[in-house]
Amino acid sequence: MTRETRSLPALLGWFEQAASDPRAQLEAALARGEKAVGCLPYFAPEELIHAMGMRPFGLWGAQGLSSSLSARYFPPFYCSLARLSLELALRGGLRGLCAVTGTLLCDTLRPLSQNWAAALPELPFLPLACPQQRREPFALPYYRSQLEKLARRLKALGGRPLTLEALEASLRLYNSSRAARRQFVALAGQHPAQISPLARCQVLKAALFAPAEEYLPRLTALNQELTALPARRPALPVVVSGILCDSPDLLRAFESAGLTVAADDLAMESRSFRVDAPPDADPLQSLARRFCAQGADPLLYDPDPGLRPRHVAELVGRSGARGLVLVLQQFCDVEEMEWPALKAELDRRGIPSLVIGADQETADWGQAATRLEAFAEELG
Amino acid sequence: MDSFSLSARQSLLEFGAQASRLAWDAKKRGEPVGWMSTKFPAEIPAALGLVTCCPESQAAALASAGQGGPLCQAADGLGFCADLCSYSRIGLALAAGCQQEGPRIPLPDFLLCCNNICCNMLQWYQNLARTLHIPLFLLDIPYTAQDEPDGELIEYLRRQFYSLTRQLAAFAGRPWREEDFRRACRGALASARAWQEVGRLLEDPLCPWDGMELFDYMPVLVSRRCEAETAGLLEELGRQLAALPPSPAPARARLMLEGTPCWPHLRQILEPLRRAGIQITADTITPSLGFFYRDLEGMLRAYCGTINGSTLTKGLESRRQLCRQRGVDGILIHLNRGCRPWSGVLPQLGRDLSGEGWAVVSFDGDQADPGGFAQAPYATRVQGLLEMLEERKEAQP
Ligand code: SF4
Ligand code: SF4
Repeated sequence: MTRETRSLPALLGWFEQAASDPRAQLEAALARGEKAVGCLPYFAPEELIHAMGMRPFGLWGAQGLSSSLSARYFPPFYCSLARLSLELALRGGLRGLCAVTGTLLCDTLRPLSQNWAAALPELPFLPLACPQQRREPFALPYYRSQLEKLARRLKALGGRPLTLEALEASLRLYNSSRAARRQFVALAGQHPAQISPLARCQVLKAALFAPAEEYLPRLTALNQELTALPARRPALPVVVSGILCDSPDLLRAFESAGLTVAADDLAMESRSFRVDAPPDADPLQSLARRFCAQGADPLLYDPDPGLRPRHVAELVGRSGARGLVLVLQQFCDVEEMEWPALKAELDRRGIPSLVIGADQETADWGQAATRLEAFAEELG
Repeated sequence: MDSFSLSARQSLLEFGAQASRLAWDAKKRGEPVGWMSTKFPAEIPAALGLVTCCPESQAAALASAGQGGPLCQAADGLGFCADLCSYSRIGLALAAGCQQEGPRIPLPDFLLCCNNICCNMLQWYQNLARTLHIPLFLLDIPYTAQDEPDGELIEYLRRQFYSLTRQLAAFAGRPWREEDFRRACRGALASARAWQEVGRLLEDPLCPWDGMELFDYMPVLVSRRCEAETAGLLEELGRQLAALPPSPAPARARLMLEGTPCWPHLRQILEPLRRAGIQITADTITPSLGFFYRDLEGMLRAYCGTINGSTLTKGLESRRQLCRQRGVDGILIHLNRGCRPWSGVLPQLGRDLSGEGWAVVSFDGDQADPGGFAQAPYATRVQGLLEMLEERKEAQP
């Protein structure tokens, strides 16, 4: 990277571009002769795909689309992430992918896997079953066997044979990327003047589409730039929780209300890079251990039912946030079911909270903006 | 003599109703009472003599008795979003002590959860464990999107089974005894066989009773299928039903009801069908409580094959088979808003079934929240179905 491309605006411009034009990233991968695999939420084993010489390509619904072709498959009230992922594929927006893979951890993803297979036989859906008893010793061999099954299917689609060396290298690369993203999250919270909520989201979202090899050096450079700048305590830091919060208009509304994101508890952001693959002589075991080490996530079972509310409340405390905003995806039973318990824990600790209903089809965020302003006033 | 006045019917209904009395008695004796999801292997608590109730059955019963609305509203008041599964919302409201009227089940001292029908089950039960501060015993049967469970899944389940039974035995303060487990399995298998035979009576074109009656016996299958006397009662029901005088003529048409019944409005739903001389001879739910197996591995496999645990391909195959066996002409699909895993595949499933020649219509509703159903659109759908059935009849040579 030259000095120029290392400058803060140039770096942020690169992330913005990568985050807002996934198709361009996909085209670039195809032009390099790579095979690309769509990764539906959640916990996609990107390292495995990468180690097989394929390009993991994030597939978290689609901004700016509305359901028409997918309405044949899902009732209109269904979660927009599922509807619009399918919509994007049905409209040809995923042309060039050789497969999609996804875990089946919620009741929307189950039918999505089935509708996908029915609607798009030419774009195979490779399911990855995940054990919920992650703390039990027998979960590891099971999950590992599912990773092996996925690897076999990827190989049949043209992936390179999985070697230990390649997987080790991919684990190292992705661990570094995760560490850099965690560092960025901390830095972003201290540099509200340079990193708006929208820019923060774009930097993190770019990791879904850009090659990890290109993403990591840029993020490292961005982190260095930010580290060199004086830190400033933001006026109204909040934690954003939910599945995702990537609508530019909504993020601008955060900014207009004077709210900064001190930390997030979003599935698309921090929840996806909280846990690294641990050192292990067997890299596939390491990847399996990474999944099993996850916790305090609404999609996952924790033997201690109090862990999740405690984790969220402590995140607010640790990050210095003054409150929490839950961006609740419409019809997301996972988040809806746990919210009363989270709210009770937040209330018990005197942490103010706000729920904003969201949908990837939402075009008008005016009401959300008003509520964010009122929340900011309450915090102020 | 009709099916409603059979002595075997009364005995079974009484036997089913006893389940909650037994739970209350256990509670009074100071024994722990569990809440168990419908498709948890009931053989496990039965082997340990643990008393359980099923909040889904309770929610269905309360919804039929007009309590779905107030309880769903109570769940709203607790902060649970109105588009969550209404069985779960009712269960959460019951756990919070919001029930005002209707029959009651005791609050649980432990939870037995199996996510083989939906992921929501685990979310729901975790929530109950969190708010009631009681232990949750989980049998995790992940959805795999595969037609058959693979060997690794069975191994995962087998090891969970050993761990779970050890933990539950410690909780119950009783030893886990293989002979008790085998006895529970024998009971469950005998019940499943007898239940299947009762259902098969509907294959007869002159069967004089309606398949919806089978739902009346579901509480028995859910809560008491492992008990020694259950099979005998079901066999007696089968005998008495088979001895009823046949209908003078076949029904005008035979329907399959797809999906959980819309309990709060069941009368309005069935009334226009009855008026049109239509008989319901098949449904997806009632056969789903017959688990057949030979050994532990077979049992674990059987519990993987639930309705919502299956693929679309397998689901289509089982419906096709059922519709053929039961001489079904048309299919009425309840697009049950609260049940995501089910409603998410119904449009495609309906198309597939219609592609195979059945008259298919669907209507919007909810299994327990009365707000999900509207009479006028339903009437239009039923009218459409009747016309389709008529056209097909005319087109027949
Ligand atoms: S947003 Fe919620 S309902 Fe939709 S796919 Fe994610 S977890 Fe499932
Ligand atoms: S109705 Fe559907 S979502 Fe609710 S408990 Fe049953 S299977 Fe799960």
